[in-house]
Amino acid sequence: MNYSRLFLWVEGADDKRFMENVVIPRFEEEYDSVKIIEYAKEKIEWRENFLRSIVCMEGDYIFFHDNDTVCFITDKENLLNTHAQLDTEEVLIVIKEIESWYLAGVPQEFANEVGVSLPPRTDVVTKEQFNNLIPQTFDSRIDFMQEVLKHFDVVEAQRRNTSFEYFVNKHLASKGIL
Amino acid sequence: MFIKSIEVHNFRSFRKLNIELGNLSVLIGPNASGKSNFVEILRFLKNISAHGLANAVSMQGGMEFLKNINAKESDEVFFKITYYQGGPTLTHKPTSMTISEHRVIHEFSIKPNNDYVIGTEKIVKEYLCKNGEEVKTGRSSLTKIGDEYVPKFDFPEKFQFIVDDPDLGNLKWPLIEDKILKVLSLEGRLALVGINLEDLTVYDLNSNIHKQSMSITGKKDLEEDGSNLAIVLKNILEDEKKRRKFINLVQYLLPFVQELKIERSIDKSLLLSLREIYNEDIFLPSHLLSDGTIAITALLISLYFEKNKLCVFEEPFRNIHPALISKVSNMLEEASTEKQIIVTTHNPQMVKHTKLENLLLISRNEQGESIISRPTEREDIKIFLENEIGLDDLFVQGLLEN
Repeated sequence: MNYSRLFLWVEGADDKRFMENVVIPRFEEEYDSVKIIEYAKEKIEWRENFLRSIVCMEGDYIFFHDNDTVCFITDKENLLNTHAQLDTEEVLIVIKEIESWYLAGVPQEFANEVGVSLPPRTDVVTKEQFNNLIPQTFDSRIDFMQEVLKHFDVVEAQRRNTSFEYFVNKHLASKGIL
Repeated sequence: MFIKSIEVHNFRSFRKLNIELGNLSVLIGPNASGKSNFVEILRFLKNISAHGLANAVSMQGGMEFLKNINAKESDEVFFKITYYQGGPTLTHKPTSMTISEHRVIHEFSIKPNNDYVIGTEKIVKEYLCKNGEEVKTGRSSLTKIGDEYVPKFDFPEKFQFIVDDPDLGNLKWPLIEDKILKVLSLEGRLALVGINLEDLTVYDLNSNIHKQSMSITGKKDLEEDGSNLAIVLKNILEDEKKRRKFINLVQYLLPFVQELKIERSIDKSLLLSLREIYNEDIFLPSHLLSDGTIAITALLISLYFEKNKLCVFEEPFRNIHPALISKVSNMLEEASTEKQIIVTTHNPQMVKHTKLENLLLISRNEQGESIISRPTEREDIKIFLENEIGLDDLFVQGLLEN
């Protein structure tokens, strides 16, 4: 059996932290190697070469991208127009940004404990709104995010965020991972 | 002395390591991947040959810290070093047949108890036996059996008479040097004295030390931390030929440097100072020089003026501008024709400018054990390179790890 590889394309450090804690552990049984690629600061030509390499080595990938426009379909189309090597099936738009996914998985008990006011749904939560929700007891944003990940509840997150639910159904539940 | 390969079992973060080394080996890996532990293998071997096994183990903090934490209680710590030592060539004048030392394979294990006792040990010397175009291999070995070291000789029949020739005097037995036998006969001590690791220097050039004025007394050879830089540089600058070479090399990396000098102060200390092209009237004292300038000065001396045959540099690029790394890489390659060089780094520029065959990748597996591999052995890396993704990009993305 061939060595199986999965590459998770993410925009930046917050996305990477989320993937390392929530996503990679769930794929470790499925793949021999799961790696993260931070692409926001890489040129499109570099990304294209990298995507071509993954296809050549028969690897899998998921290309995570923030919801930058009014409609996530437009985000996807914009990406496909600029990245010829990108497979539409492998693009996943995070609605609205990765902070929405962090917040979606915060259990109520933990929220009560640290004093976070949880919205019922996080589909429209932006980075700025997330930052404003951080309790004053945390003077480091990274510290807070690490703490959230320790308590992260995947089932709650599916219930509170549409794009996370889509991700779980498409990439985890359908493969029997979750 | 040239280490061709190292096999190690159960030493620090290495459960099993078997790696070949070339003239230049650049070991790259993330923090805590085991780069320093790799250097410790060499340091441990050097300490054995310099201070004996018990002291060398003690200098590692005892077996508790020396032995891999995943190893079983009964597992021995094992080393197998293959090296060239450049021994003499024997020529049998009547026939012109020659016997020359090819390589030495030395393996030994340390028993898993607190007495620091050698378990197994074997030294094999391989010789190239030449008769015109015909080349055959001869072997001599010394194996520890119980408390005794038993020699064995296995030479092609045609060459046996040379080995047995009494007229060759002390050369007739090049196979096991006298000193090894002497040491062994003393107390059955480890025969690692056969490896001359005194030539090994592990440089960790911390520029803060060199910026101070230094005592006039000190070693002639550059200390591993560069603390006697002024003394060494003084000797170089006093020799016209060496001075010219040194200034040329410095100006290749730092074109603004016009002259260096060592001044002796009234308290009998030495102070390095440097004149730049920007102001020909002023020599800047070392405490006003940049960390990079000092680091480059020390690096150049260690590469081009020190006589050691095996050098290890731990993170030598800490204070060096990325644009200079390609030149430094070029110099490492040049210097490695005269001495074996091992560099540990996590500098992506060094990864970019090092030849693929000289790169070694180090990372840790799921059990936390360090693993070293070559990028040339990895199919995925070959594909990335074919698609114009550089090794430095892969390294920065953390994709070179196993």
